[in-house]
Amino acid sequence: MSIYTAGLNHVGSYQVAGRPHIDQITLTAVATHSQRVSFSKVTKSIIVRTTSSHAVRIHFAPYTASAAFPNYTDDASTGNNFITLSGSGQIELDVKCKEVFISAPLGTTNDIVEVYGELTTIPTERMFSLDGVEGVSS
Amino acid sequence: MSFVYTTGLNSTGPYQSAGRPYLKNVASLTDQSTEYLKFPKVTKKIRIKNHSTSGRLKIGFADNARRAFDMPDTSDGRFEGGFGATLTAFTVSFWIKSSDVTVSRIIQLTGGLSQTRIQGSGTGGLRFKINNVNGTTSANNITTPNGWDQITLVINGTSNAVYLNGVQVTTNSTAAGGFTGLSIGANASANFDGTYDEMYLYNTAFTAAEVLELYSSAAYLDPRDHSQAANLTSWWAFENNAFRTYFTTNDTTATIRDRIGSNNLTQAGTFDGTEKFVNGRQLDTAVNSHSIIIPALGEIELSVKTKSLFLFADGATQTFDVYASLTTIPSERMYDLTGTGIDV
Repeated sequence: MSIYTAGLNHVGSYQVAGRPHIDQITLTAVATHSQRVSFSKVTKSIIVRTTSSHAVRIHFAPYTASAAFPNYTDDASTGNNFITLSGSGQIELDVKCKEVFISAPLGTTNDIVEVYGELTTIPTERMFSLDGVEGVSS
Repeated sequence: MSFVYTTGLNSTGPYQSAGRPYLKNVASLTDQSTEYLKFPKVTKKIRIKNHSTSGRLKIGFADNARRAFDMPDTSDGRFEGGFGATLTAFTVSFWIKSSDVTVSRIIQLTGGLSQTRIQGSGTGGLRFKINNVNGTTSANNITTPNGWDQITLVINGTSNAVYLNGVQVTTNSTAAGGFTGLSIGANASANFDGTYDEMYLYNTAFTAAEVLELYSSAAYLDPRDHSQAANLTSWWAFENNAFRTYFTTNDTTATIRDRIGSNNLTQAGTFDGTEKFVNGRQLDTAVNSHSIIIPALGEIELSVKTKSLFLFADGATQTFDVYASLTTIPSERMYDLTGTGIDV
């Protein structure tokens, strides 16, 4: 028996999206370390916020490739595939993804960053890998 | 018989035609307290504006808005109750949260060998005494300061053990015999300064696998779902129904009701009036790990489908507005938000 689930190009799943996912992450001292937020479903959009005065980087692959992220052979730092959120800032991105990575350019410790995901009903297994994709980790 | 059809959660039309407004002003939410809003319909979008000039507001979504009981200082007494029988092979499990598990007594068994209890070892470890005989020494610093830990006590003749978060941490081979009840908060000279939540009594000695099952499934919490549910004797939920009605009768600061049998826990000793109900493990975890912080004079708008929203004042009394754009989907159609990214 086959069980059918919504696919990545199913329009309705994006129209009825809205299941929330909130994670608070604490940044580490090493500027090249990435903190990963994994979602339980494919997102329709995400919001990243920081209430600290320090900037943070947002990327969709690890900042530097490491054994901690075995599914990635490429990284975001090589091609500067990241955006920088200013201190006390917030950004909303209309993006479908199953995970996002955050790092601290100044290596500032203990800064808390909040990540909000607006989830669809699409299982994450349906999302393709972003490793090596131009604009992500190229 | 007629059916009333309502639109469902995955119907696209209600989101396209959403817009029924919901407005709520909260003029004064006291520091360290929680407001739990329930929407009449599923939302499409919400906006929160913080008008406070100091402190901050934490907001999030957690539909397991259960409660726990805080015995806040060492001068408080204890809660005690009977098992309704003499039990020789049984399991007691509960969650605790404390800033520091010191030498204070966490739980004591009564009606059998005296001085049988679990207490802190003074360094974040646990000590398991039967008849005042210490069991094996647990490792130091195994409990979580300001976090939640599940403690499970298994009594079974000379095979007695204490588990922390599903893992055995100390044993005691002293012949235990039978017991007829328990007390928490324990002794007047060394009370536990912390919070209790979701305590269960099963009339059977759990195996290690059954202890782990209880810990693993407890994230979604209902002791009646455990494989040993037939032996569930008592369930003390520490629930005053502050946010949702989980039981028809509220627990009070004087009586914690047994939700399975009739083994209610009642106050014993002197209480100073500072004991109180607080957010339970899941809502507390949501506030501290899965919330969005809205600083003083800050604002946020979220595209979100939900039937509820919690707001927690942190650092000062908070004043804020909530606006929601509602769909036509009845809130009964919305599932309870829990799990990853919500309250775990």
